[in-house]
Amino acid sequence: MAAEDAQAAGAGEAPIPPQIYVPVRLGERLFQGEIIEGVLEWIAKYDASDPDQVVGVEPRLQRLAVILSQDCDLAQDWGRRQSELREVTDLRSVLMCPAWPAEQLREEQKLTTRRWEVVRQNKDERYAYLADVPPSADGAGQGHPALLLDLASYFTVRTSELYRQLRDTSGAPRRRCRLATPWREHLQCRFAGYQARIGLPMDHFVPEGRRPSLPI
Amino acid sequence: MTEAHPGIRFKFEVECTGEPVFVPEDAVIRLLCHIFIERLPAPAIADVWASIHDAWEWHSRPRVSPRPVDRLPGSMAVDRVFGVVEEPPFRIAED
Repeated sequence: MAAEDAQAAGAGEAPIPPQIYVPVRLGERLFQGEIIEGVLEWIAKYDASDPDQVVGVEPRLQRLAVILSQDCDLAQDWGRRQSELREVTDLRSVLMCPAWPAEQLREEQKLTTRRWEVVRQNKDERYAYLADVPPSADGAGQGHPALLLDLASYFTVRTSELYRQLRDTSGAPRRRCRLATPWREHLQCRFAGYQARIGLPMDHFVPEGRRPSLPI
Repeated sequence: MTEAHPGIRFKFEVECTGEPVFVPEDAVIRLLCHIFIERLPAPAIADVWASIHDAWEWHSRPRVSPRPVDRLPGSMAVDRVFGVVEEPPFRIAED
């Protein structure tokens, strides 16, 4: 009887949707699938008239970036850094992928609905569409619209440098949230799969519109 | 006489050419290797032969020293840090 009452009481409640994102707090280690705002990527700056001449370094601001490095590597690295901040570890750099508001890209680039649906449904292996971040899952408490990653475009930051940036209190990177399981692993597999793709000289099937025209 | 090779006895000698103050560790290990090999059954000898031959070949080949770096790129004037530039958004490729 008690079980029936409980079932009846719960019948009207909406099911709790799974949480794609988990907030990240200050002082935590880095996570695979973590979204960080404002990472600086240090790149070489070349002379305007001589592209072979390095004249300095230029910090490139990544508005949003998602960490792609293996999570266990990040965990082990963090463990070693507990005794020494600048410890030289096996994890020399952290692999990251820039992320952009998906709808903004679509608007600016005037994508057709047909093309956009392929990208948004994660049916184009090159791109990863990530759902919007609710404010409750955002370490900054703001939330964020859906993101799009180009898995062909990635960069690295030295691990010690990334942690230095995160310790910087002068308004540098903000840790926003991270993908929960299994969405983290899903992104990991998609990235790994894209990097492992094989370029064929010719596809098994070539759509009619792409077939080369006859020479006569 | 070993069980593995009836009718054949393997013998080895260790001769000290001077007053033995100490026996180097590698000499002791070499001696132990001989003892182990002598006591191996016949089917194991082919494996040991392959391993030892491989080790002998590796350690007897001429060594090539890595070429020293001729010039380190230390002369570049890279002490200038430019202003922060924001990364532009990527282009979504056509279908």
